[in-house]
Amino acid sequence: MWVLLIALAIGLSTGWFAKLESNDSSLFNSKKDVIEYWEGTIPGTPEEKVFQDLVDEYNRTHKDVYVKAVLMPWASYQSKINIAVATGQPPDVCYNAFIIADGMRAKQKTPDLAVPIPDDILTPKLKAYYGKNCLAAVSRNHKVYLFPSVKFLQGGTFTGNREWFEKAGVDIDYYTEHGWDYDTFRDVMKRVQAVMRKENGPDANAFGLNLLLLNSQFYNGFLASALGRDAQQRGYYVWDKATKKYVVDPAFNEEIVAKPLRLMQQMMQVDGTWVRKNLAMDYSQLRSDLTLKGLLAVTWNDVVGSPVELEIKTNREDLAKGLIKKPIRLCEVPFPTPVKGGRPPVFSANAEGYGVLRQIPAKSKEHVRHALEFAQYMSSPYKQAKVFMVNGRRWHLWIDEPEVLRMAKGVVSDPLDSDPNLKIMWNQYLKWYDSPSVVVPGADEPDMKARQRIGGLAGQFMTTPTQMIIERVLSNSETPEDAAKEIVGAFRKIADDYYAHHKPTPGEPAN
Amino acid sequence: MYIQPFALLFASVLAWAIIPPTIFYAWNRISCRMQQKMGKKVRPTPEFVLRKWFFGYFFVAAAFGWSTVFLFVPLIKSIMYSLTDKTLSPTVPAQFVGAENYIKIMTDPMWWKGVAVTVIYILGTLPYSVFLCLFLAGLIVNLPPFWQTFFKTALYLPGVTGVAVGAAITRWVYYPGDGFANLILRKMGFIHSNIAWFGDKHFALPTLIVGTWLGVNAIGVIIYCAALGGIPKDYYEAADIDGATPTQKFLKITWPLVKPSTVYVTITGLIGGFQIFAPALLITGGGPEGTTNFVNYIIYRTFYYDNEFGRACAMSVVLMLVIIIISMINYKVMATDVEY
Amino acid sequence: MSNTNNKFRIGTVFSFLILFGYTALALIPLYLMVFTSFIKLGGTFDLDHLRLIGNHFSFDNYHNFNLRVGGLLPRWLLNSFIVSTVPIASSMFFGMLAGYAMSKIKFPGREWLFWVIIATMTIPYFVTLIPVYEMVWKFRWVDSYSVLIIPGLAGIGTIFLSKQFMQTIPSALIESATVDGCSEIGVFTRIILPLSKPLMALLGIMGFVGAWSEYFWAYLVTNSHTLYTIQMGIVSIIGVDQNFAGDLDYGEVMAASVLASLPILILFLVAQKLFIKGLTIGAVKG
Repeated sequence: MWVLLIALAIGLSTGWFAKLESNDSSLFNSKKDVIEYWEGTIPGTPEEKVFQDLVDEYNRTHKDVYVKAVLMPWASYQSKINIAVATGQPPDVCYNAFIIADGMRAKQKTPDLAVPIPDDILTPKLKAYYGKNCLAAVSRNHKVYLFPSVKFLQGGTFTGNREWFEKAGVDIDYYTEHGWDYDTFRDVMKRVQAVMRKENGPDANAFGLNLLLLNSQFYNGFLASALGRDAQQRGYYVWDKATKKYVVDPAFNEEIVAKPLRLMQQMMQVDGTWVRKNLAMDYSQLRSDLTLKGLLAVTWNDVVGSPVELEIKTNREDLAKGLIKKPIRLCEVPFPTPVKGGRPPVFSANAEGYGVLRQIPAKSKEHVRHALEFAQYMSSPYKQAKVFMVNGRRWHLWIDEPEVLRMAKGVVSDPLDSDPNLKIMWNQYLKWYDSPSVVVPGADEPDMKARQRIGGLAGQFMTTPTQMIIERVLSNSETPEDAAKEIVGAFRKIADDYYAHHKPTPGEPAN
Repeated sequence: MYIQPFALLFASVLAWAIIPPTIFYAWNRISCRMQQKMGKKVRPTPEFVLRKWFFGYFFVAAAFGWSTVFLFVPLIKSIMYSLTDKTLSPTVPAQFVGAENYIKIMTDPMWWKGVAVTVIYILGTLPYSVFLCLFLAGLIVNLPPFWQTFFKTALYLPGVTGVAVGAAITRWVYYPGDGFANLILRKMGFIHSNIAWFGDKHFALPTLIVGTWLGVNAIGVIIYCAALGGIPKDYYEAADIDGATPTQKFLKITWPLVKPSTVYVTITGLIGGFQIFAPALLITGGGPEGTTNFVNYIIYRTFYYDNEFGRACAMSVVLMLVIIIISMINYKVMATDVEY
Repeated sequence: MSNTNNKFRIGTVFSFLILFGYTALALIPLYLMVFTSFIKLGGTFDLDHLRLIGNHFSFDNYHNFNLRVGGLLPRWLLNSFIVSTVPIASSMFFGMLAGYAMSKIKFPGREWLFWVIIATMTIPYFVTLIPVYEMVWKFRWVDSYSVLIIPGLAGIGTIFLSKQFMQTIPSALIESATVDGCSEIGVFTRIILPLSKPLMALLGIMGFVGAWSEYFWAYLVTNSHTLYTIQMGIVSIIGVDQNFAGDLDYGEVMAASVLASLPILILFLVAQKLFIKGLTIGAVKG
């Protein structure tokens, strides 16, 4: 009997002591300010180790704070951060802090946890350096909430394998610059597929996207190029001065929405250039079909410029492993548009970085200050240089490019110097970023509160529900016209439902 | 709000040890006294019996106290939450909404689809499993003891590894590309190109069900073995003398006599089947277009992703009622002449 | 079910064939798991890789998995052990005391408590999980060992099992002991405990196995890498809530799975009779 009690006591106390150990702060001098920092990583990559090293270094150089780094797999990070924000116990510093917090706020009634960056940290000189578009993406109501560490363009293009286009006699650079219409696009895909099948057998097909990509590629790619830059800039809702309400943009109507849906359906059902097995593949399978196996010519693009990264990685690692025989050459392939003759692709400018969230109950001002300083450290060129030195890849495009390259000089060589194809894509990117076809995040809205709520709900619709609608169109169980009606109808319903329960609030700041 | 959890547990255990016996003791004393006043001759309950009462509760206090904090109170809280729109936010109080949650659930097509998926899964796996267990047990009991233990152990072995490991293995075997299942089937000539097992909406749920067929519910086998072992051989011998066919022997002797075990296996199978969750979480994520969207998975998404605790609690209460009703029906139907 | 003597051979052979067939079928996943943990899987997989002879076996997968998770594999195994050993003692402690009281001590409300236990065993997982999850956030218990261990100790099944087992102990023994002036606690320690050694072992094993295989609760309430149990580690690698596997080396995953299953497999093989006996106690009448 006593044996049992003692065993139980030992067991419980092990747990108790271990609890202390996991909160390392208690072992250290308790005068240290503990900052909790979460990061979603891909387990086992060298980048993860770099994050940990950076945190350790920060802890060594800043003796008055202790940063507790919680690194978790990307997939669980996304769900756990939402819950943490909802309970009011989020981490102090995390990536895209205020975007996540705002996302939660739009869906439920969680409070505003984002901490704006004060002007003494974000000096006017720094603001000028980042640039207007970049800061616009990380601000709300003229206040900046993130330290940008990357800026990029989204939409506009696919990743393509240049070789197949050359073999099919297609000048892909011409179309990349000028765009192409649906008929030309379908025709090119068919020609490319014929060449691929002659060389690599019937398992090859020209175009491939999976189920999870359908909604993002639809809204940010197909639809954007159908709507054109100006309509895309307005978003799917416009402000009606008369009623002081947001209504669905007349440019976003059933007719225009049905066009890309019909194109997708035709590619799968009529042309056979996009096959069902692609829908079940995962991201890496699509990529490896494109780069290694020669079974795909065109697939998704993470952000504009990622073919650069993909080509570097493949030519460095996979070539060495013997998975391919010669280096690959990729290219940017623009989304087609229903406009006759085509028009230049439409992109969205974006930026991401690290920010600070506050807790409930709130912690001291000094604590928040320390958190802000750490967030700035994690967005600094120093950190980016360290990551670049580990993987040698141009991961998106950093703010402080020349400085990063300077720091990494001698350790890692710039891949652009050794591969002329990369330079082509890189220069294309630089030209696009300043071009007029870029949609910039909207700043001023007459009714911010309503816009955000409606936008949040629309954002929800734009994920799984849209995905399922598109899947039905692709499998011929719904016509593009009906699907378009469903989509536009849903957007209309969101606005109507909102105004059924809320009055217009023009001029009011968002909560 | 930081409540010292250990204090809560300690208080709960103490409460169980002290309160019930005190109440019963007081009740006993009062009723004795009242009966004496009414003139009846009542012997007061002996001391040692009363002492037993205290000890009884003293012994169960720890277990029940712990369970109160983590099982009973949450159960009641769950029912309470199901009538509100509670979320996890500390700053938003939960408001009473009555039956709104339940109505929303009943009118939600996704919920009914989930119910359908779960029911199809149970119908697909349970009857097969029960009969397979009985069949295998029947084969096993005729073997020498060494082989009996051997097979029981061997069949139980795969289940020991746990669900997470099982999911990892399933994921690999049924990989949509060049996975083990695809390669084997291609080699044997059954299919020509790879099937996207869990990625294809027509294949996801059947793959799960057939996958369960390929495994054996060893617990059922073991239970049936024990039950079959308890049937006296004389019954069969008497039937042989009367010239009974094997089918008649099975239907008239074996089946009725293993009824208690069948009831147990079926009910536990039902309860377990309704709790199916791991494949949705670890392999399919609810399946392509909701084809493996089990009820438990819907509940999980509701409270974890959508942060709607009220609705999730309502869903789980509905599930609980369904399980209870079905178990009772099952019990009534099958256990007509069974003493438990 | 019984065969006459001259059909004996055919019947037994038939039985053996079927049984071996089903056993092999059921054991294929296990075999695959162990096998692939020792070979190099990599990106492309072909059935050739599964041949026994001439194949390259090594411990690479184990080593690589450890590297992939930043050297945390031993820590994860340790965490699993820490989380699983406490329930051993607690299952025994709670189960035995409560089981004895429910079966042998006559106190009022006993029947009612028994029905409460039965009822609790039928309620689904999530009904109680959701409020406990909320409780965990309120207590600020997230990301600690306590939250992994403490809620799991409330085992209703152990009480049920002990009661069924202890009912088989003859009451005469207890009565004679009390007549001789033995106190309740004395009866428990001197008579019940020695007779219930198999039960104790069973409860301990059940407690260990139950806590070892628990992955979902760990997934919900832990964030830090360093706090994962080995099951949670596997879950974090293969991913949750998604239909796609991503850039996985399944050889490494299988290596981790082998490590995760090893303690339980060993335990099971050593104590199989006990396992099997435990299953039948609660199920078959008498």
